[in-house]
Formats: sequence, C-alpha cells, structure tokens
Amino acid sequence: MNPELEALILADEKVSASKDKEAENCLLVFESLLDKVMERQPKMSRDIVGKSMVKAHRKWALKQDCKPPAIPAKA
Amino acid sequence: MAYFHLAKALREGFLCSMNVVMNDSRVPDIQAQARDLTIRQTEQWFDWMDGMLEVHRSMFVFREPTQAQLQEHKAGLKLAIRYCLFINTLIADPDFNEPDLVSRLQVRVRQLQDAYDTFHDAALSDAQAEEVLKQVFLE
Repeated sequence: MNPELEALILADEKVSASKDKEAENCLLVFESLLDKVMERQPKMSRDIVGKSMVKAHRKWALKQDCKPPAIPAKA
Repeated sequence: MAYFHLAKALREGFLCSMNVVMNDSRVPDIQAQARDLTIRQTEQWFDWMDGMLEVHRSMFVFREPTQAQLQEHKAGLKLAIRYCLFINTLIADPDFNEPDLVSRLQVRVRQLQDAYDTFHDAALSDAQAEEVLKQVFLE
C-alpha cells in the first residue's frame, strides 16, 4: 500500500475511534495530512478524495484481525 | 423513539424550572435556566451520538452487516445528522456564545456524516472511490 494512503487511513481510524476533544485533535491531524496530498492534486476535488478515504478506511478495517467487541443489539 | 426521549427531557427540564419558580418569590432568570437546560440536553445528545458511533464501528465498520442492519444504519444516522442540525441552530446563536460546544458538535457531525457515507453515499460508489484513490496515490 502507498505509505501516504496508509498514513491517511490510520489517521482516519483515529478519528473514528476517538471521541469529543480527542476526536477534534485527530481530525486536525487527518485534515493536515490530506492538505499535503491535495497540494499535489490541484485538479482533484478535496471532498471527493476525503469521501474516498472513508471507504478506504472501511476496506482496511474489514481486513484487520483485531476488531472492536460487538455491541449487543439492545445497545 | 428519539422523539419520545426528547419530549421526556424537555418535560423534565420544564418541571424542574417550574419548581424553581414555585419555591422562590423572586422572578426566575428564564434566560439562565434556558441556557443551562440547553447545555445539559446538548451533552445528553452528545452521549447519544457517541453511542451511535460506537455501534457503527462495532457492528458495521469491522464486520459485514446484513441488508436489514444497513437499512437501520441509514435511518438512524439520517436522524442523528438531522438532530445535529437542530441543535446547531440553538447553540450556534451568537447570543448563546458557547463556541466550545459548537465545535464539539461539529466533530460529531463530521463523524456521523463519515459513518453515513461509508455505506450510503449515493454520489460516490466503492468502485469510483477506488479509482479516485488510484489516481491520487500512484504506487
């Protein structure tokens, strides 16, 4: 996997796994990494690349051996 | 169900305010009460949204959900995002002046929108997303 893509996926994972103020900080890290990538892609839509990252993160998550515990249905 | 909880929370808040009025001869500070109530209820909504995000991670991101679960996922997140917009209208009012609360809400809006887009983004298919990433991240 491309190292920049992997770094973005891992940054997105931190956004997804954290809450509140911590999530805010993780989001800043993710956005600054995305900014760097987008500097080289002036013709590409930042929004589309960001949304594509969300899907790439999910694809990555499915491949992980260590999954968060399932929450019972009533939760 | 969410409407029921909102109505219950509002009723409890209202009754609490009424007790203050009845036990004190001074004119109640309605603005302060409304502000306090809004902050407390926003915190409750934050907890509810965080619960939804936990379910999203545990049952959808790291596992393959069924079609029926995906339908529930879509409806639940749509509702949560819509409520975020209602809450934003209340707390983003300049007179309310709670920028920290607003930014905490914005983070959740972003997380909920990402959760929604993971499965239900009609404008971008999985194949299109892969194509975009191939173009951006040439190996």
